[in-house]
Formats: sequence, C-alpha cells, structure tokens
Amino acid sequence: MSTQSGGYYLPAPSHWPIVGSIGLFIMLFGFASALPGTSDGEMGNMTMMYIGMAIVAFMLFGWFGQVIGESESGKYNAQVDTSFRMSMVWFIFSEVMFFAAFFGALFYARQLSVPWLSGEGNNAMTNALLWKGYAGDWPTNGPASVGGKFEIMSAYGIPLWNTIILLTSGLTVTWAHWGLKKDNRGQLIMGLFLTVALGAVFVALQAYEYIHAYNDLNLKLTSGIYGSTFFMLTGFHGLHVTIGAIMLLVMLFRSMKGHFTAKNHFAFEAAAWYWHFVDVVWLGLFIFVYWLV
Amino acid sequence: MLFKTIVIFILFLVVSSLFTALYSMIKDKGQSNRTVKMLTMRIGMSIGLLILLLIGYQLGWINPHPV
Repeated sequence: MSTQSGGYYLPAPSHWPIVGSIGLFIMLFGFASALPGTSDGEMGNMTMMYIGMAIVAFMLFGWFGQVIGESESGKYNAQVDTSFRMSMVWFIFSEVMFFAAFFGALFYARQLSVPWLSGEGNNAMTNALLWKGYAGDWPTNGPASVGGKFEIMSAYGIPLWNTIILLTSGLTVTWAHWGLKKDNRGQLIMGLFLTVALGAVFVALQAYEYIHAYNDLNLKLTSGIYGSTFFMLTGFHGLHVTIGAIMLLVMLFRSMKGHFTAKNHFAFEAAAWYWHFVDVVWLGLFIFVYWLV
Repeated sequence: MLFKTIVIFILFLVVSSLFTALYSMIKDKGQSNRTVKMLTMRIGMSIGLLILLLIGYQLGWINPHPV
C-alpha cells in the first residue's frame, strides 16, 4: 500500500526493515561469538550465524518480492524510479571500493612491500639484517615462507576456460538485452537462461580449481601474501558471480511471467549491468593475477 | 612492455565503456539504446582483448607467470 501527497511517494509502514535488522544482528552476533578465543584458531559453533543469514535471506526475498509486486501494479511514479537508479549508483560505488581495496592490497604487496623486504628503495639493511638472501620474486609467500612451499595455478587450463565462459556469458546477456529492447521475449528468456547456466558452470569450475589448489598445489588461503590475495580476490569475485547469477535468475523468472517492456525494465538493466561489471572484474583479475607479473 | 601497455590501455577502454553504460542507464531511464550499445562495445572489446592476449602468447610477446 502506498499514498501520494504533493508528488512525494510515501511508502506504507513495513515490517521488513526490522526483520532485516534482527537478522543482521543475529548473524553478526553469531559470527562474533564463534570467533576463536584462543590462539589455536578453531572457530566455535556457528549455528546462530547461519540462523541470522537465513533471516536476512528471508527478508531480502520478502522485501524484494513486495517491491516487484508494487512496481507491477503501477504504484511507483518517476520519483521512485529515480531513487532506484540512484541506489544502484551507490551500490556500485561501494562495490568498486570493495574490489579496489583487494586489488590495492595485491599491487601494494607486489610493487612495494615485497620488494622492500628484498632490499629495494632505502631498505638495504632490512634485507641484510632481517631477510638475508630473500630475492622478493613474485609469486611469493614471503621470506618466512608462510604456509610452506606451494605451486601457482597456470593461466592456461581452468582460468582461461573460465575467462572464455564468462566472456561468452557477457555475450548472451547482451543478446538478451537486445531481445528486450526489440520486444523479442523469446530472445530475452533464452539469453538469460544461457547466461545463468554459464554462470553456474563458472562457479563449479572455480570450486574444482580451489580443490586442485588445496590438494595438489598446496596453495591455500594461508599461503602467505600470495595465497591470501589470490583467494580473497578470486573468492570474493566468485561470490559476486553467484550473487549476479541469482539476480539474473530472478530476472529470468520475471521475464517468463511477462514483466519488463522495451521502455520499462530498470531491474533487468541493473542486473545485466552488474553482470558486465563482474565480468570486467574477472578480466582485470585474469590479466593482473595471471599475466602481468 | 609495449604489449603490456596496449593490454592495459584496452582494459581501460573496457572499463570506460562499462561506466559510460552505467551513466546512460541512470540518465536515459531506459528510453534510449545507449546503454545496450555501450555494453555491446564493452563485451566486444573484452573478447578482442582476450584474443589479443592469446595471439601475443603464441607469438611470444607476453608470457603468463614466469615460474
């Protein structure tokens, strides 16, 4: 329900914000309670964290579902449309900052802190007294060899295949986008279906690659600076692919129900743009992590 | 080094077209084809970049991780 007064959209009171707050609180409280209290690093019971996550998921599903229903019944005016678009801009801004932090950590380690340990700049004595003989070649887990000897992933093989898969999914989502713009619903639905399927294949291959890294290469999250930056970047990217695929899956279901027109389709366009964004992040990752040493 | 500079330049163009698409998505409110056109350019250049990397690798201009 909504009321309009003087052109301003006034949403009716909703229980979803408080449900979200409770969910977030329980999730973070559960996480903090499970953090290791001793130096052995063992996590405690995380049941409460999962309950919190389930409440947050329930809130997202319910709240977004309500917004979709209100949008489809024509309750929203141009002002609401603008607020959705501005929200998307801020969401993307936070995403750019998020990935900038992890890429920044990679560049800082590679170009500055690791060379310093090997004596570059004015750090000759650091190398001579603390880390004698350490050359600082990337990839490295540091002079103390944290996590033990490891091998790195070859760019050929799964990383290349995953790049091809993700770029193909960029093509299919663009094809779906043109389908919507030209009022071709079949093309829209088919394009979205292929994109979601390719996204699922990407995530599955990434999981396979992680198992390979852990079991065969001794490359782990604990493998010093290389292991931590590698897994933080590729892992959070994989999480974003999963989120993007869920968004596109919702768009697929909505398209099948007849939602969106050539002139009115912000949810689709935002989800499609997000997919392109995640695709570009991967391209940057692939090029910087695997090629431009 | 020249090859790496070209790779980074194309990557910059890819990112630029992506964010131009974001701008038109916000500005045009779905009424124009600018967003989908910029995104088409974005995917086209990305695929071109990957092909260029693979050609560069075959011709020995660039190597992934010297291990």
